[in-house]
Amino acid sequence: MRCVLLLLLSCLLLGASEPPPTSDIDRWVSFFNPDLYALAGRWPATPIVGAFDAPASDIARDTARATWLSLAVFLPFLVLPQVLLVWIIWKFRDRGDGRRAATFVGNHTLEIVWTAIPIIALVIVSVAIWDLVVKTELPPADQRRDMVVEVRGKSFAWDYKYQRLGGERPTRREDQIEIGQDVAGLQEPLVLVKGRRVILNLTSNDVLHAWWVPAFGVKKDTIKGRYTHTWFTPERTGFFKGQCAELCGQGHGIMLISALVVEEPEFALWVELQRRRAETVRTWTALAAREVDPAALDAAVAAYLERGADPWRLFALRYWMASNLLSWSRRPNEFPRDPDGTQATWIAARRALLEEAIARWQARGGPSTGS
Amino acid sequence: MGALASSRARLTLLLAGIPLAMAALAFFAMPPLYSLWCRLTGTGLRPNNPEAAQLAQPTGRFLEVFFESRVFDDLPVEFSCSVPSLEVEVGREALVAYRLRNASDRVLHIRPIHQVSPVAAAAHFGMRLCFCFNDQTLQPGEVQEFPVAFTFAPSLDPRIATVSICYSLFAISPDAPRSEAQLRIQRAIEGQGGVVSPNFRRLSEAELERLRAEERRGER
Amino acid sequence: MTDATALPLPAPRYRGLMDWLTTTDHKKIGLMYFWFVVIMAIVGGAMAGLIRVQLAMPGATVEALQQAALTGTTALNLFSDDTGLFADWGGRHLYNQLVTMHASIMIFFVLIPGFVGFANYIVPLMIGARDMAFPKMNALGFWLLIPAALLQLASFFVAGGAAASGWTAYPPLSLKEFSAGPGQDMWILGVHLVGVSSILAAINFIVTITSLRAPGMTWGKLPLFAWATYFVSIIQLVATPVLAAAVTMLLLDRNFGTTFTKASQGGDPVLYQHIFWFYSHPAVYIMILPGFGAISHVIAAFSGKRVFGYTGMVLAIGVISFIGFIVWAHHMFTVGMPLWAQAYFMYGSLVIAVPTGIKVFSWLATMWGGTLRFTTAMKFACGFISMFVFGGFGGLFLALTPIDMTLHDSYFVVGHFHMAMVGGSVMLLFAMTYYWWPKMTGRMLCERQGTWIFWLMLIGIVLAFMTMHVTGALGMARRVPVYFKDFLILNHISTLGYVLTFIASLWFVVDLVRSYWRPPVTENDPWRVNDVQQSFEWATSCPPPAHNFDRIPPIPILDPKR
Repeated sequence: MRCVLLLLLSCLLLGASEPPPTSDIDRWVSFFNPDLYALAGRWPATPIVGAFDAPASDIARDTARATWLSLAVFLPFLVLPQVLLVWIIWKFRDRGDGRRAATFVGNHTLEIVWTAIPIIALVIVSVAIWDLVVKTELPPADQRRDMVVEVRGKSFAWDYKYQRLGGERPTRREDQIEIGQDVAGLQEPLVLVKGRRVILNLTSNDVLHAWWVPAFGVKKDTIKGRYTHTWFTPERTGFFKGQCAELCGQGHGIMLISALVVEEPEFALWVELQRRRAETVRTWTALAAREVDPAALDAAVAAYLERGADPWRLFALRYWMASNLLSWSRRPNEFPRDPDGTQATWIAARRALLEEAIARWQARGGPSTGS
Repeated sequence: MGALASSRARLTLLLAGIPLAMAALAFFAMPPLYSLWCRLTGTGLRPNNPEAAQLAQPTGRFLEVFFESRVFDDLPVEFSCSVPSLEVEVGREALVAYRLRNASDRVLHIRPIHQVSPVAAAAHFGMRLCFCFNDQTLQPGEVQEFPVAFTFAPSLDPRIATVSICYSLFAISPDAPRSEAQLRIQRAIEGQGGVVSPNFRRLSEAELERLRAEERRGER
Repeated sequence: MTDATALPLPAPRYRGLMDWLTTTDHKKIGLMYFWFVVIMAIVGGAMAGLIRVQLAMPGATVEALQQAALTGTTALNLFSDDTGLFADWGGRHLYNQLVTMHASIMIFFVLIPGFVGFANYIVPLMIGARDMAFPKMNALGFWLLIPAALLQLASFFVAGGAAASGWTAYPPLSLKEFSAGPGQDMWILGVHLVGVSSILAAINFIVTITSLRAPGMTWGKLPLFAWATYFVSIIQLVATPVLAAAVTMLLLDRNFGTTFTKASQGGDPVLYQHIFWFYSHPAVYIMILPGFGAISHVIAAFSGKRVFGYTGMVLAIGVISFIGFIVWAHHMFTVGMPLWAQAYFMYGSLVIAVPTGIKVFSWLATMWGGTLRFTTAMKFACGFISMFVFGGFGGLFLALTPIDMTLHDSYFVVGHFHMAMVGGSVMLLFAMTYYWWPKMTGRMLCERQGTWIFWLMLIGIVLAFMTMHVTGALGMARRVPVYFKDFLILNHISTLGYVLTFIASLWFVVDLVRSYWRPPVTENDPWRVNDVQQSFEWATSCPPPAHNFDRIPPIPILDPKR
């Protein structure tokens, strides 16, 4: 986290349009794309954050508070019968001393009391929780600056479309960003901004799914042909895990959700990256093939980099490349199938190939920015 | 004994009638009841409440409306709205167009349906022109534009400032029976009430002409 | 009312096996229900075992995933190979089948017929009847369960395997498009058969209780187990056909091109959910209310007292039965519904806690001041109160909409209903078995082993299902074969709890079988409880003769309210 802040600071000093230096790309990637593969595979080191122990959104915080409150009100009704039961078992057990059992068969006062007291408790909780019911169900007021995201569940991954990034209304399709599975077939995280409310419009491509990140305290079913709707405001930066919560077929268990909450400037950077995404991914695909044709790779790199002479393109290329490779190589020691480091070597080789292609392109006269 | 037996027979018959009645109720009465529930709450599929929007007056309150489009069943088409979003005044009719192009070299049979988010807005949302369930037949390379004219009723919750409308396309078999909506358009064109949705104002002559043209294309 | 003279029953036409196959005697049918339920419980419990095995070792799946990623395939293609149990796509499909069938078997073939079986045996005895009102229909009701169970179990062996869309069978997952094989259809037809069986039994119980009560057994003196059976029969009559309608819609949509649940053709998948839960919420009470009635007898019997607050107990069962019908959508909060609907279903669901509380407090008051004898049946009864209170407690939070948005479809829900269904219903069935086994077979169960079985069960349930509440609140979703590493320890605890529970259950079955070789019970009332009971079953021999009573009541009967 600290290195990210440092990086941020340097970004601000150098001007926001300056991409971070290459040597920091790994760190950037690990920040933006922390456990992509690990998430799908290795149940990562990032611990799950529950809605009740460490809420990360306003809705989750209110939900946690409501939960503790209702727990406090309801707890006597859990504890009292248990204590009574144990005490009765002890007190009235047959000791064989010839004691006669009591003969009463009813007591109206008592019956009225134990009908009325639970009702009072229920009324207290009902009244106390009403505001939150209204809050979660109705859309929030003053939505002009909110982020609006369309979430589409599909078997077994998620597509996100940023209908509005927050702020200005998009007037061109290019103002909107669509993300989903990356080229490795892995789930990209939904990137959110700390303190910026996000409105989710959820729908499905096929069967029912449910979008659930416990730390945000929201869960909504996604239904084909129908929109569901929810919202929350992330309040902490960090990486949050979740998963599909509605049985959706064979891949239900691996239909994971990852969400990344970042600060405003980092989000702007991410948006810049996304704008170059489609082209970059095409170039990277040339490298992802098992047998790399150096000529083809050179052509792809050159075609990509020559389309615009901004340093961002080089950064974007390295970013996507690294993000996809790194998600595999992040914790090589933990790969049980890679005890001799074969996989790490493979990844290193791929990265070297890319760097060589870039170097060749620069040697042919391409600008040397960004390295 | 006889009286007892007959009273028991009556009871048994009554009891046997309950499950039959419940099954019939669930099977035949639930779908229409559910449709009614959906219409009242806006929770259903394809929300459209023209009555609510019909009498709407401009209010000076503005919404941002996002237009989404989706294509299912691997239909080889290009389909999108002319604009990604629009600033719309509550109570005033807005008009956008969805453009659909058949990108393949075969005839496509397509059924569009729409959805609206959030649910709280759907009950106060009415459309005068809508191509939902208006089944289409597209020749290879053919392009069609579908106008969507919609209004939000002033009863819309003032908190709501963003709404999403999405049209989805599904493939249908060419001999599928014509949908209710399409039949309604047919009737509207033939002048029986002149509405796309019941209880809504008549279509203008130009709009009718356009619908007829579309209809002719569809027949071809 | 029935004649007071002993009816000379015709001598049985067959002996041995054929006698059992053709019997219309409610006692024999009740025992057949019982053994059917025991067998199905072992099958369903074994499925739960396979589920726990997978959850104890989810890594196998994960490694397969990694291996495929290393070779460069995309995550979506890499599961298409079938290699090994649970380790891949096919294994995951099997996991979903097991989750679905575990639930279906436990609900349709264990809990519901479990109580029906006891009611079959005990209720006519309790009210002093010679048999059920429609003995042949009674037999039909039982025999329908066999093909239903076979149909559902056999579906494991057809192409595509058994139903894998959960016992809720939500479309579109349960439609042809996503569940192609005939397994889902077999599941639907099985549910139909179970439904017919339930309805037949329900009609029979209502007519029996209405018209076959012995002289003196007025409505105001009706034993609580009979009352509970009566109310549950009404629930079954009203709700079961609705389930039948729901799954019929699925069947038609799957096979005959109708569009009840197909969004693209004018239907709506959520419609199915509403109809389904209109049955399935009352079904929860079908699975536990009869036990509420029965446990009142057990507690009264071993407290040496009569039931406290008889009228309140009956009213509470009635109120629960009624409210059960009007709160179904609390299973569907995350589907999205208008504010007022959320409020209605939320508050309606909370209200159920009140009559349930009345019952719990009345049981405690029944024990108060008694001379408590801790037979195994009584131990299970006390264990039931403790576990069920916890199970119901979890339900309070699930009823609160905003909290449900986090807890819905998580392991909290799994913990909640297992606490109510295993800690509740299964404990009840154990208590009822220990209590009525001498009456049903004329043999005693071993009290000493019963104590072991009880404690194993109790600890197992606490470990397995209380833990699940925590797992769910932390964020583990239901019905997943793999999970985040954070939940590993919690899942190990649950698996350990399962092992204890399953050992206890098998031990119990062994004791059931062995009891047939024990000396017969010679007295009518081996527990010596008749002076505190308002029912007739202890006034005849163990087991009762074919005609139930040598001397039909009036036997002196206490007014429970005085």
